[in-house]
Amino acid sequence: MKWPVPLLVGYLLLALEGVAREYVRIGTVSPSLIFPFVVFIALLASSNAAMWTALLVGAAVDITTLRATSGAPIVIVGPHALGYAAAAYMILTLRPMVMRRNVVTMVALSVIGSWLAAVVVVSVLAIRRTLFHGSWADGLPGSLLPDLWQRILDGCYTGAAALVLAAILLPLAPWFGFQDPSIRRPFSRRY
Amino acid sequence: MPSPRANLALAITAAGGLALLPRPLLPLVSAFNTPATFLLAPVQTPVRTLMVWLRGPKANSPVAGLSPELDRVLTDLDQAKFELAQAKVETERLRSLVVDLSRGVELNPSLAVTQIPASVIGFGSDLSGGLLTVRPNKMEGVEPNAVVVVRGVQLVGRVQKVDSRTCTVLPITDPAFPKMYRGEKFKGVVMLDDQKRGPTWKLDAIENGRMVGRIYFDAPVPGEDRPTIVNDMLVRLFDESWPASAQMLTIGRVVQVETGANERPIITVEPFQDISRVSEVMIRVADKGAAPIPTTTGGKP
Repeated sequence: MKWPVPLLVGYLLLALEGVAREYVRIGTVSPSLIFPFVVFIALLASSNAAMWTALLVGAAVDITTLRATSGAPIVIVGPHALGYAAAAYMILTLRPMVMRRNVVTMVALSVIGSWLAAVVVVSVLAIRRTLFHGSWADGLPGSLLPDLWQRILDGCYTGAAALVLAAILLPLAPWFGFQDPSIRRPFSRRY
Repeated sequence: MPSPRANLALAITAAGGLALLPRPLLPLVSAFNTPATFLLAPVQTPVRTLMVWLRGPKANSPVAGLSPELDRVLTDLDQAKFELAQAKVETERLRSLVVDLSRGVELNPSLAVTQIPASVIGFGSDLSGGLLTVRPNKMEGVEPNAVVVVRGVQLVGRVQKVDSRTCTVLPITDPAFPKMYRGEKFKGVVMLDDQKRGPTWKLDAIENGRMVGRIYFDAPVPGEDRPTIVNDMLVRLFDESWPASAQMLTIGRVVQVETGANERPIITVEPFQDISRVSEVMIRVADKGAAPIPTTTGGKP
């Protein structure tokens, strides 16, 4: 994969993520623009590149998310990085069984993948709540179950964003310089 | 040299380790937020401006389909109503001040307020973060806890963090807002008409961007019925823990009235302006250049 192209596209989508999702919000449900990009890379790039992209994009989402707490705002790096990595791994596992350059595949995997990422993100936050108390606690407001439900609904809407992004990204796939990955299991040895 | 798989495993382990950093160590990673936000701003700011422009006047106005001129007139009217309501509160405050001064209490002089326009960069990538990043036209005077408004009089929130070029605003509709101020949930007053103050409203909970709270009536006046709270009534800020300059800013309008225990009304207040869809807010800061309102020292030399 030619790294400058995905880095540039990732930067643009990450910048648009915070703005555009507010404008296409329906009630409290908003789609993610960056997650379908992770799915796109996971479908077409090599296993290693896909996992690194998911980790980097997830870490970038974490770093740019300032969380309101009962004290100073905090940044928790890791929940999205791990969530996106888990989703990328799931897609790498599933991709030998799907039509990779298909819009419907990208939509379906964006929805399922974002649900998995949501579960991981909320689980990490739940673990933090269980582990840390007193001055070590995050002090994040609200309970996590409604947050999980919100993220699952967001995931459904992300499918719609994936439909639009697939129409843009799939024709641009040659620019990304993907090696044509033979259909094989993720991280299997090449002989 | 480690294999690519080992590198990846190391990175995932590091992400797991970072995800479980206790709060005292989080400032180490939080330091990366400001440069990251700054890097994204060149794309976010013009896109946000474009989005607001594309949505037309509706995006900036609580009333749909208004011409810009009429919208401006309405904004000026809101401002005038706010200033009149605030003048009444100020008169009451000055009356009690006179009483205090006559008892020899020295009080801080009141300061004039300047509104600094700030373009909205946006929320973080994950909207659940809840904090709004804005870039003021000038940083001078912008301090944590400064009050942030939109359209001159509609309360948005308070500044929580100030960086070299941007600052972070915690909206009043964020569930973390009451926790920020030692659990002090703010109070307002329901306006029975443009200038007549009604009962006190006290915030209890924040749900989906709406504020739910109970109504507290003053002691009943013989022969006078309790005022009835109905939808669309205006709720203004009236809380002594907020700066005097912020009193009577608009919190929102009543969208739901229910009856709670002891027949006490519970009302839901919704801000007029969806703050996620505005491109500019105003930060209210003390105007250091303005002459303070003179006060006597209560007989001290």
